Amino acid sequence: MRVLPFVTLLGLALLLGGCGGGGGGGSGGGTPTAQNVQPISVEAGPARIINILFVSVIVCAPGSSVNCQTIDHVQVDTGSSGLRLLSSVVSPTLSLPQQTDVNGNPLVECARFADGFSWGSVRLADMQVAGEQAKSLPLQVIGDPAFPSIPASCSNSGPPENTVPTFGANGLLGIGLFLQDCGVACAESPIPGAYYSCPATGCVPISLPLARQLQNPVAMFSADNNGTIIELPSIPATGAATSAGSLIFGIGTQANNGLGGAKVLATDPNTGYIATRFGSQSYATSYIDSGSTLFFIGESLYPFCTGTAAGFYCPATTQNLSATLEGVNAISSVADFSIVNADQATAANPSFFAFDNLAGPAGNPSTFAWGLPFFYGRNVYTAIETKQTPGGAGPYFAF
Amino acid sequence: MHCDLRPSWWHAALLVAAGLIAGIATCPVQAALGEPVASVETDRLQVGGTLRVLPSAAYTVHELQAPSGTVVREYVSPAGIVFGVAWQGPSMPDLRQVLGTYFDPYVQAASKRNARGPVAIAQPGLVVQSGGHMRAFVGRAYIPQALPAGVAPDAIR
Repeated sequence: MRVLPFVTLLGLALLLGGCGGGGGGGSGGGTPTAQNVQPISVEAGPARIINILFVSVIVCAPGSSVNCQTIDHVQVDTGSSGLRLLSSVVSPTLSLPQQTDVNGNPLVECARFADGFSWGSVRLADMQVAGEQAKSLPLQVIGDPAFPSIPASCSNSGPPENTVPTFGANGLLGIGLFLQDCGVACAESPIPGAYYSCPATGCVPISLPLARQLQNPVAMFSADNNGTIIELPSIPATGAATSAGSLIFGIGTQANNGLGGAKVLATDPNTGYIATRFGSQSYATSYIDSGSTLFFIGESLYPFCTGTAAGFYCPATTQNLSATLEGVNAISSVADFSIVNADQATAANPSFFAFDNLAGPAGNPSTFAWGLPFFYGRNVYTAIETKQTPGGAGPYFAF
Repeated sequence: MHCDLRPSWWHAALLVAAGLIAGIATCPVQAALGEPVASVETDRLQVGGTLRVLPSAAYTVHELQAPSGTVVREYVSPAGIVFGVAWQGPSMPDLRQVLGTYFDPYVQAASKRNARGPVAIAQPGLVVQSGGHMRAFVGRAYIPQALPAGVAPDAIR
């Protein structure tokens, strides 16, 4: 990774923009996009996994405008909150300060996902993306060599995802529905498999006040801080080698991020779930998640693939489908989508990394996860809990 | 601390000697997939979490709610074997404890996948499904061959 001395005009424009609040439109210094717009892309990336949505962010030592590093290929995730970076891509010269508990012991986090866990230190950085800035942002440095010993209560949750190949990206930009990654549960009591205090004698689970937990970086921006829009263009049914779009910060805060005709689907305030009606079934555990690489639906909807896409669905013929997404506010919206034979689609174009029609089993008969395939050809809004928008307060998804 | 609740001779000896196991209170106690449920009934009483036993004709459901709010359900056959487990809640349960000897095969299979998101492992002798996202996890596992007669996988949820 590159360490960029932050003395360019571009850098100054970004820094000034981050403090400026309103405005919008193109900013100076050759910046190609508005203050609240950051390019995003789907491409091979460092782990060559299909349908990973990438963004670049700049992290700086807190308070510094020169000790900064651009981290590319960070995955954009509407299914979690908080910035996580793999230790191997973070320059040691940044010297991001280790966070500590009330007794001065190092804070380390176990981040648990449906498909595994990531273990690493909680540190502090200033983060910049487009013209926005989150100062003094607690972030997780995954695989930090300073804390090599992983407690069983963390590793007992599934496969380890502590390296770039196993994590699938250089980091994760969690811009989901919630203000913190864990929330009140972790503030009230020590939860095994969440936050740990790590004195020399070993790591033990601790409770952690909300403000010390990993924060949704968007909520810490001085403006455009109530949510995001992910805009990706339509792609051919055969897929595409790459796809490029925009991550827009704020909902209804600038000329470029109005809700337009998008329908607001309020989510359950605790789980972030909506419901999906598909066929004759209602899926109560449904969510829109840019961090999931497929449509993950039900348990055994179609035959499983047996080739290179083993574990995905392989219907004999292309399925042209329609489902209804329902918010807890009783607003619903129909989504048309297709599911192709994943073995055939990926074998036909082995160098393609963007597909809008791949699906797999969800891990539960009542789960319907609208992963990245859903985002192609749509503008998908994610509104953060408690934040006001022209469509009401978050948490909600809209499209 | 290693939290292995599989029945063993020393485990049984401790139970007899002490009537309870002091150290076990740090573990949310439950039987693991594929193992006898009777051996941990005594341990279960020592746990702070709440337990409901829901008997039915074909099997019994032991429902344990951990302090984190996550509910783990064990499906116990008439022969006393845990043939299925399901979980739902804000925190992922200790899957090594829930899956027992099936944990390592699960991790091995899940690690081979070239995708991010929910996991579904379907092997001849083991089905594991893990889904949801931070703050709201859901999943289940079962041994297809161990399902009591007349019980469909849909019952495990």
